[in-house]
Amino acid sequence: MKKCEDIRELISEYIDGDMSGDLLSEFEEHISSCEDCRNELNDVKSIIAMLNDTPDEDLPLNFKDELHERLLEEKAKKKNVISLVIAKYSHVFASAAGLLIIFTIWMVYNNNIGLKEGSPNVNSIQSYESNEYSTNEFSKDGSLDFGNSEFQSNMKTFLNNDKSQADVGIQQAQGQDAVDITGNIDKDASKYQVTLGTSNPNMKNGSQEIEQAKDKVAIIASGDANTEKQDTTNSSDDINISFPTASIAAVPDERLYKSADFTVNAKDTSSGINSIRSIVLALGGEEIGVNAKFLEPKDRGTGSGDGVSSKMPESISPEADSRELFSFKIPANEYDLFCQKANEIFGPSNVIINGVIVSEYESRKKEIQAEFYEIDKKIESKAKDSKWSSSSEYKDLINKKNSLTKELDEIEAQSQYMTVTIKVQKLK
Amino acid sequence: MSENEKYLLGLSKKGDVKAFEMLMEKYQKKVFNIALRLLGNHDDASEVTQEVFVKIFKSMGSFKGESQISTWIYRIATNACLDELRKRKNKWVMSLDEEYHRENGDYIIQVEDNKPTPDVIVEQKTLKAALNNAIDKLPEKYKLIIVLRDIQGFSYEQISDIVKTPVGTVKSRINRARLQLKEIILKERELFSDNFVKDIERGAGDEKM
Repeated sequence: MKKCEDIRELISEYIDGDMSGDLLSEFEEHISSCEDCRNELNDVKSIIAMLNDTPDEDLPLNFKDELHERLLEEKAKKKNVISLVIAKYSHVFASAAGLLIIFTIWMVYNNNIGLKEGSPNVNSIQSYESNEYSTNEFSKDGSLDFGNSEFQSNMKTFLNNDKSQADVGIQQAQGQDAVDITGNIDKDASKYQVTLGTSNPNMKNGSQEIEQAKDKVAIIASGDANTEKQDTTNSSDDINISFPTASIAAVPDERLYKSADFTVNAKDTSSGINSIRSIVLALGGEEIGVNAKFLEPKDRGTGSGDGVSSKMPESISPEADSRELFSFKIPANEYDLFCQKANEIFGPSNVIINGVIVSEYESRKKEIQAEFYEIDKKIESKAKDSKWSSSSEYKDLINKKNSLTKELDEIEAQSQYMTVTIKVQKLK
Repeated sequence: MSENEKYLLGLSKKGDVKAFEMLMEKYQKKVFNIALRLLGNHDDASEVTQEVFVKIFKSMGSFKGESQISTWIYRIATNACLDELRKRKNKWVMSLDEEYHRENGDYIIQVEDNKPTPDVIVEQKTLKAALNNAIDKLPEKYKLIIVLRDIQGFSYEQISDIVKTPVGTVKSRINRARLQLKEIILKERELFSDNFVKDIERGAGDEKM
């Protein structure tokens, strides 16, 4: 026979329907004979019923908009924090102090950038810094020797994708004398804020070495040697400088174009082609097909003007007015960088975009997403029906989902690359 | 996780805000209501809920899929609400301390009343209001479990995952929480008229504010 205290402990179990067998009958027996416990049980039941009955309230009116704003802010923050820490910098001092400037660029940005860690220089720098530096902003994720060329090109990609216009042509350390300067860069939409710290207590703000380091950082970050910088130092240990960046737009991972068609004027066609080739290779692209040489119809001598395609490849003499058509694939999200580089090498007026074809990837992706959502909603709404999962309608929906997934994978794969066709002309 | 969710999750991890919003769509209302019941007023609930989703967005990278995404989300949400409650409690206690002694020597008795704004304080005569106030007086752990189980309808397994406590413990806790809630309400009842008693007898449903 159960006592009242025991019954109290069992009330929820009973109400939740978790009780059976002997325990259940004991419980019910007690309840039927004990008024106090019966009242208690009923009170609890009522309260639970009332709690259950509490309706869910709707989200406040502005909720989604406000949240959206905050998410966008957060995203902007995420993208723009760069810790620019150490890079090798050649700097020679006459003094016996012997200082080494090391900057390493360190990504806190952990998503898109594939950095190669484990290059031969990494470990030595890491052990070097862990003793020397009190700032601990850069130990875990790999501080890399800036001289590592793979790293450099990744860095270029990263910074340029972010429209930071960083000039990453930093010179290798040449002398043995240099100064340790570590720092981090916070980049927001309008400026870089660089904080430099040094392990050398004699290195004070205003000293020549620091000034030069600042200049170098300014160049690294903004690509412009004349960038004005403000000194926002607030302590003798922190050396802060900030300087405006060129216009920075946070560039999302866009794959806007499917193909693009250019004409480029170069001083010399073959060197022009080679330049373009090297850009393409640096961006991870590759040439398509054979380098075809074309003749202007008028240079084909006797030529049959009878509609033979002027694209028939023939060898030409150097004096002929020759054009070169050159096709290649590049990763679609490198398109902007490609254009930049081409402009730099040939001059913006010599790079002419004849046309682009926009990729349908994004819009189709959205359509597929929406379809997914609808299908999932349908499936979930009927999930309670036990016969649902064997119905043909359900199977159809699943098949539909599978084929959509396939399509999505395919167009995703296709959209990774875009085709660029360039006609290289000799500058007249 | 459905294909669609996996897909949206992948995009969200890369920082795609729209994908994230789509993915979170179906959890938002519930999180808001959990916050509302725990915190007791709409403004705080809205604020904390937004913080929760921003926090989730920030830490998308660390979600590996070892647990259900829903569990993860509700866990972050409940922790955030509890943090807010504790924060409030400290503030509240401090201000009460100041007035602890009245001039005539009376003491002000501290009540575990965590509502800074009388948003949900309505006339005590109505049972629903009494219920809300009573929930508010529960200790943190009991409050949480009442909200999750009896108001939001999570299963014991789900609750166990969310609060990282064994199911058995959750079950005994809910019992104690319900009993304590009942005690609190009955105390309140002594202050009222028969309306209260009639309301309980009638049960929920008929209750009109």
